[in-house]
Amino acid sequence: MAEPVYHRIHPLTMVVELPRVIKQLFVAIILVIFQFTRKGGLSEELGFEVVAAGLGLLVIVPPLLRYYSFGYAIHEGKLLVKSGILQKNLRTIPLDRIQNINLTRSLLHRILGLVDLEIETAAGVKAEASISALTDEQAHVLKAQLMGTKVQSFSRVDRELDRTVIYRPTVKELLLVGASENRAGAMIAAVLGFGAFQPMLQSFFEQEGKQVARNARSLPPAGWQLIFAGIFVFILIGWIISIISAFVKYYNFELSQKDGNLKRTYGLINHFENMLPIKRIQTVHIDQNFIQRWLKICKMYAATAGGMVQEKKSEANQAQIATAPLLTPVLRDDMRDSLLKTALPKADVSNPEWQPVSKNTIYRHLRTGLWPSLFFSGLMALVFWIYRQPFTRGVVKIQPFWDQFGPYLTFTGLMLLALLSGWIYWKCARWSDAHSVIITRLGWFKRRWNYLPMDKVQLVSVSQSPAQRWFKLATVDFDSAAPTFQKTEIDDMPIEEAFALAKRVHTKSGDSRDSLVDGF
Amino acid sequence: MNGATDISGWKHLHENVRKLWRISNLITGVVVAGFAVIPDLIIRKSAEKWPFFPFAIPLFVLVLVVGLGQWIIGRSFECYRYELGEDDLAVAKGVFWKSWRFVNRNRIQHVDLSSGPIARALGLVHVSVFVGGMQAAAVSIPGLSTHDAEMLRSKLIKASTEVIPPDSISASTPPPAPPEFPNG
Repeated sequence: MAEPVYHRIHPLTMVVELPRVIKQLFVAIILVIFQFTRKGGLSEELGFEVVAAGLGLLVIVPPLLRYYSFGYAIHEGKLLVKSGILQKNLRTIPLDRIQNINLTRSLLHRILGLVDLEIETAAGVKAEASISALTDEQAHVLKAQLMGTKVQSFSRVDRELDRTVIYRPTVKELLLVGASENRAGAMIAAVLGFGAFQPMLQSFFEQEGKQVARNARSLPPAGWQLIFAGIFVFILIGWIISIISAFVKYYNFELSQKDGNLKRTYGLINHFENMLPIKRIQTVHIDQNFIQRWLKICKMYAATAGGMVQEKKSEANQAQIATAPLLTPVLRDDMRDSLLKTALPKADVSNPEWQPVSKNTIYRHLRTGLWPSLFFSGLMALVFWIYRQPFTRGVVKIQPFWDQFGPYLTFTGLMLLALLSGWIYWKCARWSDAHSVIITRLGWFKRRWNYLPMDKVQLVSVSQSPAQRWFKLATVDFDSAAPTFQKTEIDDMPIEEAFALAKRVHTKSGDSRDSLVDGF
Repeated sequence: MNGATDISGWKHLHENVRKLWRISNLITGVVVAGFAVIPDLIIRKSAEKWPFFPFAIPLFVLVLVVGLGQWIIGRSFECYRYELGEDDLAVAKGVFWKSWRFVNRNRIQHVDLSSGPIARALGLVHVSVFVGGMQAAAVSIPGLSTHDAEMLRSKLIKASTEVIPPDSISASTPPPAPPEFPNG
């Protein structure tokens, strides 16, 4: 048996790794700098050169070690990746288990002509192997080998010709999809997430918040208009950021098809390329909010087993590079059927026979909302009662109107909300199991279509909450092997119908082969 | 039941599970009551007049947790059933929130058998069945006798390997052609 021949990554990996190392050693570097600026600190004892050299070594050595210890080889249908110096690590990935391959180029990579390559299998949520800093040519050859296709000559001209372009959104469409979403919420989440990591910052915000509240109380009526103007500006900024980020992130997006793989390339600054074997697609989803419904555009996602998890929004910069199961950031409504046909070639999903859920779902929503409504209105009544007691000495004065009607109004309001959500759910929720694909359509503000072929179903379950038992309803869940969008569920079906559907899908999925083994 | 699926014929868990659950519920009750001692001490120290006897709060917590727990355990045992079918495993559970789960044998990735010290003393094994892409167990059967658990595992795994011959999994041979799909 021949020994595997290990390839090295590109020497410039040391340059590419630098930012990562600096990021990791950020605290240490700050500490050292702090020592410099302090009088009588470390620098006076050791001297500037020693400290700087030590710091430099700290930054240079890890990438150097990584370069000399890292190697990859393709050997007898397996990818071998070795790494580590003290603790050696050899990872073996059978080529036929690879779920998808990502190529990423950050700005630095593009200047140096390098590519990061990531390989995902069905095992975990993270990439199973990541080979950073290959030259374009190395990456091209390796990708072809991993995909089991013949290595063609590396030429940009050829690459332009040997694929079928499926979809290439226009700049206008990209701007529209950015404009129909708002990043203000994501910004708040990012600020909160940042605050969670740094309690000091959070307490600062809290103090500021108290100050704002204190000021707000003393504001004349016109001041409230100022606050509303502030909120408006905040939303406006979120909107502009959303447009710009959609444009920068998905600039020059192209979805193409080649040898049974879907290929996506996009990015203005960070360039991203992804190969996705069509047979590995487990589920397909379409999202469309009500503005996008009016603009007749939508977003389509395709989830594979393992990998491809959208990173948390708080790591805003990483999220740009992070892989998402997004098939296309924007899609015209009239292209939907043809792309669905491409992503799910074995299924006919163009004309689903929509079935409604039980009308009892409205009563079920009311019944589910009853206890929380009672709890909150009761809590309100309790608090008001405490305030009325003599020992509070009238610290807080409640307006007579709220004192009298507050709890009742709260109860009615919450129950009306439950009624409304129940009504919207009944009006919008549809499902279909024709042509061996489970299709659901949910939501009004943000509508989502799920497409789950029955042969990709891993687990079928029927569940029933106490409120559902009251009205003889049940929820049917179908789990696929894709960790994102794992569940396709239909709430509030009549229980007999729920069991009949579960049985049908269960039997059908039992007839087909294991979807993870042969990618069926 | 609701008439849709009759689980009265399905298999019960092992009798000893009830014992195991009751013991662990007692332990939980004692531990939680132990934590409740702290607020009890604080309140009695700070309050000038305490209307109840000393350690009333922990005792109340203990009675609540154990009383409710022991009652639910009886019901829960009745509701926790499983059925090993020709090609599938079905598990029904839940007193208030009910669920029925169905797993096909050819979807099973691996089966875990585990047991803690008390369960071992009672001769019980916890069976967890895993399918692809899910971190948690798809279905779990919390208490079978060692013999039953081994039988169940061997049956599940055997059927699983029958569907996928081991040689088709290895990388050297190409997987057999998938069966024809009705819609082409």
